[in-house]
Parts: sequence; C-alpha cells; structure tokens
Amino acid sequence: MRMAPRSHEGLDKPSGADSQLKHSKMVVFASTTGDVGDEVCIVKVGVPLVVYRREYFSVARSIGAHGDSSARDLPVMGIGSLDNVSDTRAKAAGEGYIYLDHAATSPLRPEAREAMDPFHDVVFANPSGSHRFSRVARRAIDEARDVVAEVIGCRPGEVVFTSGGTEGANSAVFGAVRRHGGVAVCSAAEHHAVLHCVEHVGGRVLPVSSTGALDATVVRETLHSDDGTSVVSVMAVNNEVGVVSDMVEISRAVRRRAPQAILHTDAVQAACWLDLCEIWPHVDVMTLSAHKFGGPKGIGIMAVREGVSLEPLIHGGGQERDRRSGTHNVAGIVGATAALAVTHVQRPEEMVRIGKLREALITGLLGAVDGCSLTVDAQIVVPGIVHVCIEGIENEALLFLLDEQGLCASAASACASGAMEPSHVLAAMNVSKSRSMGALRLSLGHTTTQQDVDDAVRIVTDAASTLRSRSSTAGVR
Amino acid sequence: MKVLVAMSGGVDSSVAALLLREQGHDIVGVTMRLWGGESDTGCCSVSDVDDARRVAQQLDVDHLVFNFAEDFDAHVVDPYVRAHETGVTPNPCVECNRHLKFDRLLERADALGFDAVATGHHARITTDERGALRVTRGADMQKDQSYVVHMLHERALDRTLFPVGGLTKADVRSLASQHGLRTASKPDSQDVCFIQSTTGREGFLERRMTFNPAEVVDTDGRPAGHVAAVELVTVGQRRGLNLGGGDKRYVVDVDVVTRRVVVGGEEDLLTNITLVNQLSWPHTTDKPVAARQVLVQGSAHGARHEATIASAGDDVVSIEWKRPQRRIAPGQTVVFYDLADTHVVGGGIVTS
Repeated sequence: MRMAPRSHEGLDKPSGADSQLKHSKMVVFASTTGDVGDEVCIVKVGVPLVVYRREYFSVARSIGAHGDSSARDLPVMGIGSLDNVSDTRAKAAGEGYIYLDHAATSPLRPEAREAMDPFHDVVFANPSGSHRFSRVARRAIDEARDVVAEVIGCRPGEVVFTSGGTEGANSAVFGAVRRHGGVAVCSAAEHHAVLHCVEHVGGRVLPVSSTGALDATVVRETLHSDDGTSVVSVMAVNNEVGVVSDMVEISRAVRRRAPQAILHTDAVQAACWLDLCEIWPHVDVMTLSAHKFGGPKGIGIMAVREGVSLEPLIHGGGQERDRRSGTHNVAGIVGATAALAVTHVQRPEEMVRIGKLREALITGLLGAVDGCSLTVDAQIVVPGIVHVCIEGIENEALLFLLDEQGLCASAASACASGAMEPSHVLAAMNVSKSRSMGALRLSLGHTTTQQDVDDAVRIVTDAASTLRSRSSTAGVR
Repeated sequence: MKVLVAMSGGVDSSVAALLLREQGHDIVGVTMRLWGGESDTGCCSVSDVDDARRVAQQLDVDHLVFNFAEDFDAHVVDPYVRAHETGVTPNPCVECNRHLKFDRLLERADALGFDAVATGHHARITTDERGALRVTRGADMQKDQSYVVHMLHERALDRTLFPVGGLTKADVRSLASQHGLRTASKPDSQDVCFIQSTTGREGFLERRMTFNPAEVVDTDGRPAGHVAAVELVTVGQRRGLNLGGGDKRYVVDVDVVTRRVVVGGEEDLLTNITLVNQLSWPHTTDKPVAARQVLVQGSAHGARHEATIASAGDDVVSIEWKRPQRRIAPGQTVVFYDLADTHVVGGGIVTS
C-alpha cells in the first residue's frame, strides 16, 4: 500500500497518484550551508543549531528532484550559539498565568516543536527500515545522538534513547541487578522512579542529611566491597528541594567501597542547571527526561558507559544496539535533542538570569510571608528551585488558592489518584510535620520573568494570609 | 453561590454536581482521598477518583483531590480497630461523615472561600416551624441517609447542600443517564470502603490487632463452645459460632476482658432499655430534659421503633423501648427521629 502524502503549507501539491512518491514532499530538508535566505537562521559558528524548521520546506528540494541525494541535503543537527535561540520568556503560560512549575514540566521550547514537526508526518518512516525514507529518519537519530553525546560529554555510542526518566531509572536499577545480581543501593531522597525500583529488589536505602543530599561519608561508612552492591543510584539534583549532590565525592566513595558497583545518577533535574560534562566522568549511567528541559514528554535519554552491561528492560527488535528495543520515537528524539542543545547553549546565561530571579523570589517570600522559611540553603540548590515551608499552612489548600490566582506551583509528588502524598524527601530530611505540611515548591525555567516572580510573591503572600485569616468555624463537634 | 461538591465517583454525587451546575452555582468538584490502602476498587480507590474526575470534566467544572488519608486513619480506621479490641462494633461510615465529610471538608471549604459544601447524600435540610434547620429524611425512604448525617448541627447545615435529597434513586439514575453521565449505572457502594470483600473484616483486622480465643457459655454459664477471636463477635450475631445444631442461639453478651461470649435464645436478646452516649443534639432544645417520645433507628437502613428517651446522666440517655427490642451491639449508632418520622432529633452510640 502506498501512503498518500500529506500536503504542507508552502509546498507544491503532488501532481498525481503515480508521481506521489516521486514528487511528494515526504522528505525534504534544507541545506544547512546553502543560500537559504533570511528565514533560516543557520549559525556559521561551529555546527548549526538544530533544526528541521517548517519554513525550510519552502526552499527545500524533494527527494524526487534529487534522487538519492536526499541524505546529502539533510541539515546537520548540532549545537549552535545563543543568537539562534528563541526568547521563550513570558510566552508559555499565557496571559494572566504565572507558571512556576518547571521542575514538573518545562514548556516545550519552540526549537523542539519545530525540530519535531516534519517527523510526525513528512518523515514518517521507521528508521530501522532499509529504504530511503528510513535512512532519512535514521540519519536524524544518528545526528541527534551526536548532539546529545556532545552535551553529556560521552560517546555517541553510549547514548540510548528511552521513553523518559522513569524508564531510565528502571533500566539502570533493574538492568544492573538482573544482569549482575547483587544489591541495589540508593539515597532516601531519590525520586520514586529510583526508590521504588530499589525497594522492589529489596535493596538498601541510605539516609540523607538535613539538606536532602547524600553525604559521601555515609557511602564510605555503609558500603563494603564484600556486601555485593551491584548498583548505586544517587540523584544529581533533588527534584523537590533542588539540592545538588556532590557526585565527585560520592563517586570516589563508591569506587573505593564498592568498586564493582555501577553508579547511576538520575540527572533529570540537573540538565538545566549543571554542566552534564562535569558529572559524566564520575558515573557509569546517567538518565535524563526531555520534558524537564523543554523537550516533549515520553522521551528520555540514558547514557551508559561503554563496557557497562545492563540487562535491557525491553526486549524486541534490538534497537539502540540491543539496549532498548522498540521502534524509535523519531520526533521525540529530535525534539528532545533540540531542547537539550538549546538548554546547553543557554545554560551559562540562564544560570545568572534565573539565579537573580530566584534571589528576588526568596527575598520576597521570606520578607512578606509569615512563618516562611527556606527548606534548604539556596547556596547548595540549583537556581531553578525555591522550596519553602510555611508554618501553619496546609499546602493542599494553599495550592488551590494559588491556582485560583493563576499561579501554577506544586508541593510534593502526587499518587495515582491525584492526591498529594506527604513528601518522602522532607521526611528523609527530618523536616517536622508542622513545617512539611506547608511545603511549597516554586520552580523557575526558560519562560520565567521578573514579572512572574513579583506576581508570585504577591499571590503567595495573599494566599497565606487569607488562609490564616479564615479561621475555621466549621465542624460538627 | 460558590459550592465545593464532594464527588465520590458515584451516581448520587455526580448528579448533585450536575444539579448545582444547572442551578447556576459556581462549583468545584473534590474527591477526598481517605483510604490509602487496597480497596475493592483498587489502591486508594483510583477508579472512583477517575469516575469523579471524568464526570467533572463532562460538566466542565474543576476537579480536585484532597488527601485526607491521615485524618481518615486517625478518626475512622484507628478507632475502628481500637473499638474491636474493646469488644464493641463501631460504625465507621458515621464517623467518616462526622469527621471527614463534614468537619474536615467544611473547614477546608471555609479556608478556600466556598459558601457551601454539597454531597450526594439522600437526605434533606428543611426549616422547621421555629425556623430551625433540620436534617430530614430523603425523599426516597429506601435510600434515606439521614442516619449517617444525623450529627450535623445548624451551623454546619447552614453551609451544606444535599441536592439529590429530594429525588428518588430512580430519578437520580435517570437524570444521570439523560445527561450521559458515565456513572449513571454504576452500582451503589456497599459496606465499608476500606474492607475488601475478598478478605473481609477479619482479614482487615488480623493485620492490625491480636485476636484472642474465648469460651462460649449459655445464659446459665454452662460451656457451649469456643471462638477463635472474641474481638470479632458481635451482640446479636448468630452465625459463625460453631455451636453445632439445635435451637437458634444468638450472642447476647461479649466480654473481651474475661474472654467470654454468652449465647442464648431470641428471648434472651430482647431488652427494654438501651443506654447511649457520645450524643449529638443538633438543637440543644431537643435534649431530653424530661422524657421524650421518639422513633429510634439502630442501623443505616434499619426499622424504626418507638421509645421514650430520658437523660440518664452527663452525656448519657436511656432508651426505654415501647416493646422489647433485640439488643443493639455496643458501638453502633442509634438515631432519634420525631414521631412523624420526618426529621432527626439527635443520636449517639450504644454503650449497653
């Protein structure tokens, strides 16, 4: 069966059934170096920024016109400079809304959307196929892999695309235990994607300090070379309170005390704020989730050091060098990569910009909200997360009032029913019940503006005082 | 009016939300997450929450989930277990209504700036001749739930709505189906939400308390057998006593301290007087200073019996039955209604 080509805006319509394939704009890309005009912003510095932009189609040539030369005309995915990156600030949540929940999901970056676009319909082929359309899809994945490798500082062959952070964590923990046996170890403040896996295989959970970080000393004191530890999982940045782990020291401790163990880091919350190249040398497996850095949901990245063997979680067609079967999510991979590239390029500037916004947010909240205190010292937290506890306030009620005022924030993780669970992270940090029930996480990201911060301070202040003033007259007792 | 509608995922609360929205109220649906463990509808009843959320979406209203699991444990589950340890048989649904559906939810609704809380209970709130708000029986006597909300006092009733209380269950289902609500033909919930039908009360309690064997004797003190768990034996119980054949014998007394269960014939179960404490009087004027004639209902959908209630001490009343009644197990809730059987007068918990 022949697929009917979809028409695209700005494209010539296919002229007839027989020439569908020949003339279809099934696979059309711009040259990255050619005279493509102003609308295509290709950077000449280094490699171009990614970018299978829709508008390329108007200047592109079809496969038909170029026979087998399609591959040659593909733009190269890569990492560019800041000049090309969209200013996404204040565009995501829409008028009247303040989105401070980037740690849950960051709005899709326009670069990701545009990069993905052709891979939904135009480049629809299965990249594992043997025909030309497949080769085009395959090339997109290969190039994406190169870009990801550059951002992480690993080899392209060490990059495995997954369905997300949770799959990555499951693959690391189960993959290590199923392949090597032994005991899985993690910190008590890990995301449930890690913690529940470790608990599931009867592993050990190490206590964290009052900052939520695992102290390397604990690793040194609790692990022994003969205790059969096969995998140690420590998050690079905590998703609730934002504390940064000292992966260098932890790695040293693990290598010394459990040299045979695979060290996995859940770097899902790190991608926006830490240079992954500085973490990668110290770990064996690193997992990322695209929607935390402006990519689409349902796609994750796992870097697995060459020579480290994990039993695959998903068996099947042997994609990803037999490490993760299942037809590639080409659009997702391309979108994730575009977002990661932009995140990487913007990072130094964003660290400074968001760092200032965070400072303003903290100063504002601590100054205006009674009983509000920082859960963890901002010095050891990534710039994107502000976690506070507001004494005497129930965060479930607080979040409702914030939402009513257009402020999107969060507290702890939710269970399957959608109810908020008491935070296991705060419990592991020994935060008192009276403080933890007033926990609030405001997380900043690429769309956050000074206005957002000013509004957030005002809204949280008002909501907290409203809750306090509405002393309860309810009840039947 | 800004109304917080408690949506359990059942048809009654679905229609309650529907009616309020049609009346033009500004409503938000909320499902209370109460039980965190396994239930017949899955872990923390996720499928019920799904139903509630889907109905709210259908009605185009916001839906929230409040996690009251800790309060539920503290006010319903723990007391339920402790009560069994002391040999009494509690009614957890009454306590849930008292502490969660009204106390806690009303308090939360206040904090969030709602004018009222609505539920899908089959009961009505009416104004009596003196202008006082009363919990009144629902229009559908078969489904009437005034028993479980009998404790609501005027201050709570003033901010409570029972939108389906004036409808029959058939009306409710037909409205739901007319509006294409997915819960239209969902079966009514039965039994206690945190007890799974597969393991039952025994399975639930055995993980949370210690059972003790007890000797079973007849009313003359003669040995009649043994039970493995005195804590599971309830006054009025007939089955599960392993007493062999013979006449019908009922449990007439349970003593967990001496580990003795007394059984007797139906006549031994009858009593003229029942004592009740932990009383609630929605209207202080209803407190029986002098003896007062009422109808007494001893279970959620049980029959009403005429009786005279009189004060028998601080927070204790005696029920003097017009005709002898089977004993009601200690821990059970009794609710007093006016003689016309229209509205709640008060209620409490049976002590003996």
